Amino acid sequence: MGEHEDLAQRRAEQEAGRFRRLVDDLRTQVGRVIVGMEDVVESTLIALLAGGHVLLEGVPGLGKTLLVRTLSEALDLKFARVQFTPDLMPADITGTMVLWEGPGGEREFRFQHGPVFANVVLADEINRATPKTQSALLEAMQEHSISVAGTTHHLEEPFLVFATQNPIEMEGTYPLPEAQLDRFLFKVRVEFPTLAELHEIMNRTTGAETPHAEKVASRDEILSLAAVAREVPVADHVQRFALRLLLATHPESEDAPEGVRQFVRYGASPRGAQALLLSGKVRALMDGRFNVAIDDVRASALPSLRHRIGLNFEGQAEEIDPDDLIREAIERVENATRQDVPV
Amino acid sequence: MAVDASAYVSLEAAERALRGRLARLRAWVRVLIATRFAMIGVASGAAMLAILRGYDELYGVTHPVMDALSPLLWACAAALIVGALWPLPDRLIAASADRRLALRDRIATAVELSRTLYPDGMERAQIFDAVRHLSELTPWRAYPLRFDRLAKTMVGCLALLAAVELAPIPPLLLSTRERDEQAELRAIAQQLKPAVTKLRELADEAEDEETDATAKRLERLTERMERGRVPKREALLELGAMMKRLDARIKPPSLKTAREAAQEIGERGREEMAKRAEELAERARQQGNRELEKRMREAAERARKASSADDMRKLGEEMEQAAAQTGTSLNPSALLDAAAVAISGEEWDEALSALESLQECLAGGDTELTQEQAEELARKLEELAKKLEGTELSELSQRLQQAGQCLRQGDCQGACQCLGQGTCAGRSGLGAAKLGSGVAAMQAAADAAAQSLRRPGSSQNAGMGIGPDDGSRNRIDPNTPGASLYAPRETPVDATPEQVRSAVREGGESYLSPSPTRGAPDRVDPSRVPYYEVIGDYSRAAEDALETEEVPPAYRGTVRQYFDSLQGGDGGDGGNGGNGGAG
Repeated sequence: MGEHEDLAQRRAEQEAGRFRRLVDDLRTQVGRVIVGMEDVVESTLIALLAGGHVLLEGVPGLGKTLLVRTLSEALDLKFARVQFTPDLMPADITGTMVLWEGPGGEREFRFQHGPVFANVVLADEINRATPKTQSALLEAMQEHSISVAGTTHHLEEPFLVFATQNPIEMEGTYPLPEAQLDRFLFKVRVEFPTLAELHEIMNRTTGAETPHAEKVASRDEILSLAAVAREVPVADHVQRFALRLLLATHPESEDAPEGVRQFVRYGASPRGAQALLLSGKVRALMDGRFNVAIDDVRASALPSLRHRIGLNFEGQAEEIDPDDLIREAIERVENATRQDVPV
Repeated sequence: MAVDASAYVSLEAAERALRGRLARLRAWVRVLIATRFAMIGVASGAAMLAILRGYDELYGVTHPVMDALSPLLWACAAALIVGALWPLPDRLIAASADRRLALRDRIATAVELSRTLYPDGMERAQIFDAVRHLSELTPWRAYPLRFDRLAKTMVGCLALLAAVELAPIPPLLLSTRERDEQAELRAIAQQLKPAVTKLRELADEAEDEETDATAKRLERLTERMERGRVPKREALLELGAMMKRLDARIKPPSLKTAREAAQEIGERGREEMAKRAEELAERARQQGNRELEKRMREAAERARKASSADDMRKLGEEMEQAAAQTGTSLNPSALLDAAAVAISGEEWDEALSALESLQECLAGGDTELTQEQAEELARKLEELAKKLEGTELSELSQRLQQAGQCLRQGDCQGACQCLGQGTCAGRSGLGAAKLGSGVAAMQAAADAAAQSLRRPGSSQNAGMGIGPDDGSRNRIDPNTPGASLYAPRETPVDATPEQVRSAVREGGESYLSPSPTRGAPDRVDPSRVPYYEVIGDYSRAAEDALETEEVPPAYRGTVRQYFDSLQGGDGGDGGNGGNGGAG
């Protein structure tokens, strides 16, 4: 029995080592194309290895699309980009049945795969499409399958949706419904680059050669490492911290801070806690650990919860930033759960 | 992530290592908790004591004298108990160490996983990872000893207490009278110090704990007096209390008794020795040895004047030679005479040596005692024994008595044995005698100090009447005005503690009617006592009552104020100045 356990332990350690090497390689490759945006790249990689979807929010021209494209290039995955517009139809995403005529003149309806049948789907300016079209992604995001004409088509794993949206230009847009927002693992804010980063961007993009990422991992490797990430153990006190943090975003909760009580209409769903722990596991492995720490949960709290909190009228009127409320909740829960000796 | 092959030991060993490391951490944390609570206790205790003592020093509020060290030691002891009993489960220690060393919940997770029955590969890897991190950890790195704000506060509070306790009160805070008093107390302390040191040495030698404790208190008092940290009133009260304790130490048995006995013994011893010399002179005369006769006559004279055992020993040797010349032998009782003279001169070592010589003489068998000599020796032993009864040498007395009885029965060996036991007992009695003399010296010094403090005009508190009443002090000069009124002190009174009231009958004849007094100081007093002699005792009785809470707290200030006002009126023109009103 002892030898078997030793082997399992050895395998786990090797997998963890491989995981870390892959992440380092991916960072390097993405870093060849993308300047700065360390947090965004980090969150994107975490979502990729946790098998979650990411909503990237930022003004146009910050490199959101480039980031996703570079990532798919480095991973040797099928990449599809859909530019969402008001006239985009659901069939344009999922695909549709088309009349197919064979060489002998025979005709039949065949399913024409839409762009959703890729490993990495970039839904650019997702809030420009109508709710009907947006909802075409619902099933794909949650179930990793789509139903067309009574037939369910399974999507190839890994299936990741990277959606972008512009936070400023709201005219003629359709804000994503809560159900769809909840399906994103992370909502990542893409900030404007600094002066130094801008310099570097100019140097890289205005020269004769445009840098490209090299493939560092296959689809199978990604799937295998994502499975390893799920094995990382979570201690009770860490899980309790994550759950109390989730509850603290609910205005009726005992742990809810004053801001949450005043400005929040509804708090994060259980998917929020899943996001906290899953992303925590990936962070732990990336950091060379075999356990999820409270720090991991804290680091994942903003991208995991900010899109799951619904502000009430007062909150919207006051233009309250959900990030502030989450920070307040973290502080409160930390104080309530801190364990230390009196020295 | 590099995999260290050497790290693959059994899971049980890893878990044991994890628990062992946690136990070390826990022990260190207990020490730190105890230290922290001790610091809190010492800081708050020192601060409170400093405030109380400072208030006491500045405003003279009398509360029970507090030993500054005891509360602080109690605080430390309580902190040790708290440290030992503080609940520190593995989970708490692990979470705390994780936080302090930024171990990202490695140890806490490992503690939890170590309870899993069959941990999988990743869980095992986690436990090993935590053990690896813990093995590089020393408890004092996780919880270093820091000189933090609490420690600084504690040092500050202790410094404040030390300043209040030890540093002289700034002259700015003292009145002219208080400054004068302090100078006077310093001078008295200088006088008291040698006696106190001597008393302590003697108490140590005699292993007398009670006297040693009193000597220590006196030593502390003199130190405080030297530093000007004790008000005159308190110094007087303290001196009075300690003199009473010293009194209790020397009676009974008292050295005085031994000394009186010794003087009588010495006289007898000298006389006996002189008589023996005259007998030898007479014998020499009969033999026609004029020179020897003359020497023995001189020896008899010298014996009568002998003041030390050394003189007696020399005389004994000379007489022994003379006895040999006249063909007789010297009676061994001469040695007893030498011992008697030594006792009279308080030369206890010499006295015991003489007794030992007598014992050797009897045990050696060189000298055959005649019936007459044995009778004489027995008589002298019994006489000496009787004189020493009831003194510090009472056990020696008993043995001498037994030795005399043995000699009467012709039992020389029994007498030797009794003498041997007697000298042993005498040596232990010697310590007590020495201590007694030291106590007496100390008492005299303290008495002088108290007298000096009470001297009229020396301060506002003069005439408090503190100190033992041996009748020799507080005598009033018969020529002083009003001496006839307060003369009763001069009259020897053999009375029980009571006060008598006088009245004048018709025709001017006075009569005295005794009436018992309750609550008055326990002293034998004549019918009328000068005011300045009793006010101190009454004031002290009131202070005692205040301390033992016989007086309701609300009235304490009033009582204290009343006695202060009495003494205040007294101090303006000296101790006797206030007597007119009180008398």
